[in-house]
Amino acid sequence: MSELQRLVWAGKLNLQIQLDPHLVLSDFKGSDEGPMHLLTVNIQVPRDSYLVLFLPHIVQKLERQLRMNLNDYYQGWWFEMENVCIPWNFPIGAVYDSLTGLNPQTRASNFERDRLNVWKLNLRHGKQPPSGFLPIHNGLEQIRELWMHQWKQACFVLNGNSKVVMSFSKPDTLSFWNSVLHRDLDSFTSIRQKILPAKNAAKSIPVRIHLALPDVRLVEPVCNAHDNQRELELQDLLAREFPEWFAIRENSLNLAMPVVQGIKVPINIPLWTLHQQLSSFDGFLHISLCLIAENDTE
Amino acid sequence: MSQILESESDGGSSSISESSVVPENQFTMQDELEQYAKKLDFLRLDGDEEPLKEMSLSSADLQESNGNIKTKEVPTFKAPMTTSVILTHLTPAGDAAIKHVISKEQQHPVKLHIKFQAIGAVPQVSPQTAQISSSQPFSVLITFLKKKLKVATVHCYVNNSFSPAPQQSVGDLWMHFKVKDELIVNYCKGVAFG
Repeated sequence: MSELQRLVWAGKLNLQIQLDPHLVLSDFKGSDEGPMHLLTVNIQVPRDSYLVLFLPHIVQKLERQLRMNLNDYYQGWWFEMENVCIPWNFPIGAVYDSLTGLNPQTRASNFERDRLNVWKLNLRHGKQPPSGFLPIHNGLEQIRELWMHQWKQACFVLNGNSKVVMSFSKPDTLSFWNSVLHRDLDSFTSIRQKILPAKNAAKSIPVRIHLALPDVRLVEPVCNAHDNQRELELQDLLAREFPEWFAIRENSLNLAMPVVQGIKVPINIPLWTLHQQLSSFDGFLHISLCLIAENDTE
Repeated sequence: MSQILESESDGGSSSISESSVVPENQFTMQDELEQYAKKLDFLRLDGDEEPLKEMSLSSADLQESNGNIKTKEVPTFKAPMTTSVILTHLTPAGDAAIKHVISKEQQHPVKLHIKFQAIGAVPQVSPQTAQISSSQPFSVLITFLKKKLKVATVHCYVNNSFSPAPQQSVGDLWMHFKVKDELIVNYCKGVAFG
């Protein structure tokens, strides 16, 4: 396991989560004594994890101010950034990189007042979550199942079938999930290694590309690990999928940049290497595409 | 005469230098106005699609008669406001590129073949194969099966292996996992592959 993998696994995001005022007891809304801190939760979460795993922790902190009684810390809740719903079934770091455009200059002007980079989100609750948002009706178990199926899908892409994951023993399956919950990289890696094929045996590479503009969407292209016995590089994939933004060969200017785990990655790296080093806890390599502004290119 | 010309050219050059004094990398009021103008521009693009959208909504019921799954327009999700600010700061090439991406999307998606296979006691739907547009999310297939089978829940799997996230596009799944140009969707009343 490389130092890079350790650093990435330890990567964190600072969040400031503001409770929807509609959900607050009127006692807390009326007072002038700055009740804002009662309606806000500041939290640091791992980049490479699902944000909803922290819902119980966040909601518990706000529970006393809520106007309704809760019997489920997962059901009916969702997060928004400027009224845009945050999908929960992707690593939160990848969603952050694409939704904020991870453009250092734009970001600097937005967050000048803050000493830290803080991502401001709103926490909402309702019977009808926004369209496109996967409703959570079965709490942690549903999250675990979805994550497991993501791994099966990634395994299918890598090996041509899902047999390795499907034949995991019960204890292995459990300790795999627990390693995610308890952020135990060693135990996570030891099970992940069983799923990954040997270097030249990989059929294709599970890649997901997140875009925010012109609209928020996910692209899951087919990436064969090799193209005519040459290893497929990130730039080959980007030039094929997004010829508008990426030139086929070096030396001409690209109009967007690929960001993985919050890192602007060079485009001439083989995808297999990128997957080895920077893939997420769900088995996929999540790439966020960020457009480059005029003043960034100077 | 030459003086007048000179002063004119002076005036011209001074105004140029004035405008170039304005720092380019600051977000000014004008930027914001431009951003709104641009947003409106995009909205108008969407507006053109409106009548089409309504037509497809009226026939939106999932019907199967010829194995052709009719569906609603795929919803699009707008980026947060502060993220789309960048649209006003793209290079001319970047601007042209994003317009090209948008226009490409308005082309018609292709129809793909899906094959449904029942697992266990659940009845086999007929016809067994169906066609669906590549841009639709997987959830449309789940909804389709639920209506056909008249059940509240159905568990769907691709290639007897995994169940994809409902938002994932059928086109991407088909490209990855097709068998003889068909995406095989296995379905079951209970959990088959946990």
